[in-house]
Amino acid sequence: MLFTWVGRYGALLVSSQVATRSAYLVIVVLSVGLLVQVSMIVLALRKVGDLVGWRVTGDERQGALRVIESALLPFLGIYVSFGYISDYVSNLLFLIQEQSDFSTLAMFLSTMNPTQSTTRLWIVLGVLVLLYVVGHLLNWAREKTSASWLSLVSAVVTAGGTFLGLLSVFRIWEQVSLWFQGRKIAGAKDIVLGWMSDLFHIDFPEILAEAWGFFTDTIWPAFWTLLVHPLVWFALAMVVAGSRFIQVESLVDKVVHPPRSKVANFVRLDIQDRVLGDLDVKVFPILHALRRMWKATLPFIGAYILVFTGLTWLGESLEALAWRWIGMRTSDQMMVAVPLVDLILAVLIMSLKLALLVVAVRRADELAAVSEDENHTSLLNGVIIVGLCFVMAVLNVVTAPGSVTVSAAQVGSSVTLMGAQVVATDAEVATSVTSGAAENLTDLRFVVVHVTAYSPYDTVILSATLTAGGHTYGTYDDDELLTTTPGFLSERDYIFEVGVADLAGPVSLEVRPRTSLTAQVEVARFHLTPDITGSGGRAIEATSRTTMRVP
Amino acid sequence: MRKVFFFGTAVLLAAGLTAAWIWLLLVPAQPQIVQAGQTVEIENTTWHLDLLREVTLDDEALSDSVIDEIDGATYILAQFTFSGTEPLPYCSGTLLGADREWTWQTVYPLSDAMSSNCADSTAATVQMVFTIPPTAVGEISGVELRFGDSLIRLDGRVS
Repeated sequence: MLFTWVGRYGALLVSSQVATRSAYLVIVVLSVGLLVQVSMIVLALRKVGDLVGWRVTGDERQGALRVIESALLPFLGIYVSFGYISDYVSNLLFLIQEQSDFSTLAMFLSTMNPTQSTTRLWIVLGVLVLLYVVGHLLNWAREKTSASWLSLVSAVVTAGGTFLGLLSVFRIWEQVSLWFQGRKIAGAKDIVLGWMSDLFHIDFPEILAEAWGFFTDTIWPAFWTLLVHPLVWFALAMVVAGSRFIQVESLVDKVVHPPRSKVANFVRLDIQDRVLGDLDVKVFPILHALRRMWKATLPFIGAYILVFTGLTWLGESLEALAWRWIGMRTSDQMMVAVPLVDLILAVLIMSLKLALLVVAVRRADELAAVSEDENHTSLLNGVIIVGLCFVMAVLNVVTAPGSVTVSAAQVGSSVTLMGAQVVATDAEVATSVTSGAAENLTDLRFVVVHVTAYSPYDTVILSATLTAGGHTYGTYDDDELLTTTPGFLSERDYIFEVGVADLAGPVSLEVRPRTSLTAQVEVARFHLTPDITGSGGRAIEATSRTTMRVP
Repeated sequence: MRKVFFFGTAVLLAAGLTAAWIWLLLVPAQPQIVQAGQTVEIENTTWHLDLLREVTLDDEALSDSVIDEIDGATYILAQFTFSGTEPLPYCSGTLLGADREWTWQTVYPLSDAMSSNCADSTAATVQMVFTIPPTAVGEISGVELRFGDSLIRLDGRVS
């Protein structure tokens, strides 16, 4: 696991050094680094598996290179699906910024930005096509020869395509998305929701927002990260263990009779190869593993998920403790400690998870060998176990170790955030806010809070949100930043549009520093006492633009 | 023996990587330091700090500038002569104080409205404007320029 860690951070370090020379070389380095990481995990699984006596159920014991080859693409699939690769890319961007400055980062990103010029668009598309063609040529060459190393090179090419997508091609999608949002069809969604609200006298946007928030913040992480994640790792461990299964393509060949026309048959085989080939290498191993787990009885599945999730929780808790102990605040301080703290999850916890995986695979094999009658578990027991796992997963999400320290602050008094002294006034409430020549009106209430920040030595970026009636509000104009410049006092008005009923309960303003890396975030919570009496029809002047003055 | 070799290699690699990581992040890049009035040659470019002086917003040199006016603030103009084999798309400037620094507010000339070019030709005059509190003027010791991998510090006092 230490080799995996070295592969990850070694590639990041080398990438950050070559980023200013060639952006495309970064993709090659990251891809090779990813190959090293995945290969080391596969070999470690195999090695530990041998120690506990994995029974190889395949035709023959495969060589190390062949094992890596067979597990590589499903592993890449996992790395993309569970955010490992996007974390990897984020860390690289932080590292480039910390080692040089933002202009270097901007230059690096701009080199691969296809929307910046037609030439760059063609270069990016050309590289993508090249990667696609080279990948297929390598696969073709691999089928014709017995050289397993070709698969490794092919995997590097596949990973290269993924990195190019994350660093570059996403901008095309971003442009398309922005274009779509400006079209009439995007507005039609709001019209339909408004029409439904009028029809049923239900606030659909509110209900949908609440439901969507609960789904994305709690249900989906619980399901995807804490239930699917362990199962997918188990599937990969089985692939490494050498379990064989029927390929989807060969099943289709048996069921579907080939067309008589040679051209039609060629087209069918080509489509089949593209679609089902991908299923075979990326999806089918996972489905196969699920089938085997099901055979191994539900209590086994439940126990495995519980232990896996427990290890994840232990790792995250230890990591949070480490950050708390180190006590770093700024991004550049944190970036130094990132690899050391990651030793907890990447080496310690991952080693424990590998041990769990090899034992689980062996036990699943034993249970699968027992006849189905002996192994029978009632459906009710199964539902209870899966339900318990899900409840634990949700609890895990809800009680995840926090990284935010909230300190209560008095209105009008100074509180220090990242070295900046921050002061907030009490809230004013009105239905009209005038900013220069522009007047904004609302049927709800505008809540305006004046915030000042002063830092003698550093540039600190702050943002603020308002909490009222259990809801969290962003600023009225979506501009929520207040930036300090050394030696100057920065100030602005924060304007929020809030429901009248929400102002009846406790209202607070939370000010927090914005850093690119956030291990321990300090938040200042100002308790406000807005006076809503007679606020209907009241007009106040406010500006959300940051102004500076010499204190 | 084999196990010891593998474990030892992993530990050595990890230790080396940690040392390199910390060194690269904690030890700041050492700029090429140039005394006031001297010219620096770096990465096929030459730089010379022509001016480092206090200006007002109605100064002729800033006629095209868009600078936020701040009550009581002091504006410092740093002007460089740049020459290179090609224009420079990005650079950043930092005005160095005693234990604090200020990033540049505007860079001129701008080759067009959408460009953030630092030097839009192979021989250009680059101007940077910094906004600082008046009490900081005495502590200014120079300007740090960064472009690509290069970092140069041009020493100078505000005149």
